[in-house]
Amino acid sequence: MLNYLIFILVSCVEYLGIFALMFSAFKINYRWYIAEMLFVCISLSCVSLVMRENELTMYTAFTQMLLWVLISWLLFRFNLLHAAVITVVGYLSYAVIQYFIGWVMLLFIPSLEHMSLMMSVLALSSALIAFVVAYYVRLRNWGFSFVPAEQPSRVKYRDKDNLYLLIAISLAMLCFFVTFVMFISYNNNTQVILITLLTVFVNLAILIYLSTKMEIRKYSKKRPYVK
Amino acid sequence: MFILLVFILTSYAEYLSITALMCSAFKLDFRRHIWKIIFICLSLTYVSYVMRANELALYTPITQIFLWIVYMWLLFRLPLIYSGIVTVTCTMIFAAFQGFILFITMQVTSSEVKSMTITMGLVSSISSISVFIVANLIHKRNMGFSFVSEANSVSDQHQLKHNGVMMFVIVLSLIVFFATYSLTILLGSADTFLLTVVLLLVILAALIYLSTLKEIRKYTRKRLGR
Repeated sequence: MLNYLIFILVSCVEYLGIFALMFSAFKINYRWYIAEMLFVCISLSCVSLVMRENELTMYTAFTQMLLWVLISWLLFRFNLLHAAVITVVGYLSYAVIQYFIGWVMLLFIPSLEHMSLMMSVLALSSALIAFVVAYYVRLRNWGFSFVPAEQPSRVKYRDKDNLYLLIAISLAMLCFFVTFVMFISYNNNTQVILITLLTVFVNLAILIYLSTKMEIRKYSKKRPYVK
Repeated sequence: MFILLVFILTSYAEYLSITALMCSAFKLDFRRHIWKIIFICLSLTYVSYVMRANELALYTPITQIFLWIVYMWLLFRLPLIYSGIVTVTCTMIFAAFQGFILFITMQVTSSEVKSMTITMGLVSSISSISVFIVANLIHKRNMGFSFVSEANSVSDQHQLKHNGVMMFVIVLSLIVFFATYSLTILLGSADTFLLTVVLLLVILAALIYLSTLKEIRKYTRKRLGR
């Protein structure tokens, strides 16, 4: 029972770290969504716990990501494409941090077991780093502002940039699923972690590049058109 | 596998019918919330299945009611007290319907109706269809309450301050529901079943009476121009 409680608490802290990354990267005011954030953290922790206990660990991360996109769309009222961008960028940024720390830890310890003390240490340290990164991004005002919050927005899916973003998100989710399955299948193998880390990093870089393009387009449209 | 499919489909139909009842009884615009309704029904079916599979059937209805209140609060953006009123009233109406149909089934078959069986699937389907018909009737006759709205205006905020009795009744009804449901699960006799249905009817009467009072107060205030 205590194990489950610790797992849920640690998972909640992790999800809060991801939220911090999401909200600072897309300049969203977290104060508007405190109740929603707590609800998402608790429900995703429960989903994670139930799936892991029923030997479905392989599908946990992917299911959570899909669920998070849906929740961001319905609960936070972003457009579906924007919800997907925010969630996938936040989730992958956190994955990069956690895989990197996991890789460093595996150089010193033999293995990382599920629901163990070392796993909690890994989760808490990654959440801490995520909070620091989010704070730094916010401090430097580096985030993107093309996602409108708390107002209805329509996205033209035939638009080239939006289509690229959609393809990049789908590819990133697919790559993440495949590498996560590999990571679970070859547990505690530092080479597999390194491959996973690199794949996630490349996907994240593509998404950030496309988001930057969207941001530039948003502001260039406002400038007067000169021939 | 077939039983699992029946369980998922019938549970989904149950939640859809309860949502239809919520939308018609409290005049909520379901067209604005179609995706949210689908999400709520799917996630509640998942919660129900996981809890039953892990032998937590005793706590399933009460957990679902709490979860549903939170969903109505966060997804439909109703004030917490209103989401409590909407959820508890409509769930109790559905429970009364299903309890009554279950009681008749138990009398006809003279045996206990177990969860995840074809008989239970039939009972669920019949209760869902009946509640859909009731919801349609309420919608057609325009009999629903209109005091439930998002708390944006000053008058709504003012209304929220006068809900002490309503909150007391909601909490009491949840406790009574949990106690009688536990008794029914533990003892499984027809008497406890009948007791649950009768208590549910009393609770419902109190909730509908209080809702009518709120509705009257809403319109008398408007007429006085306060």
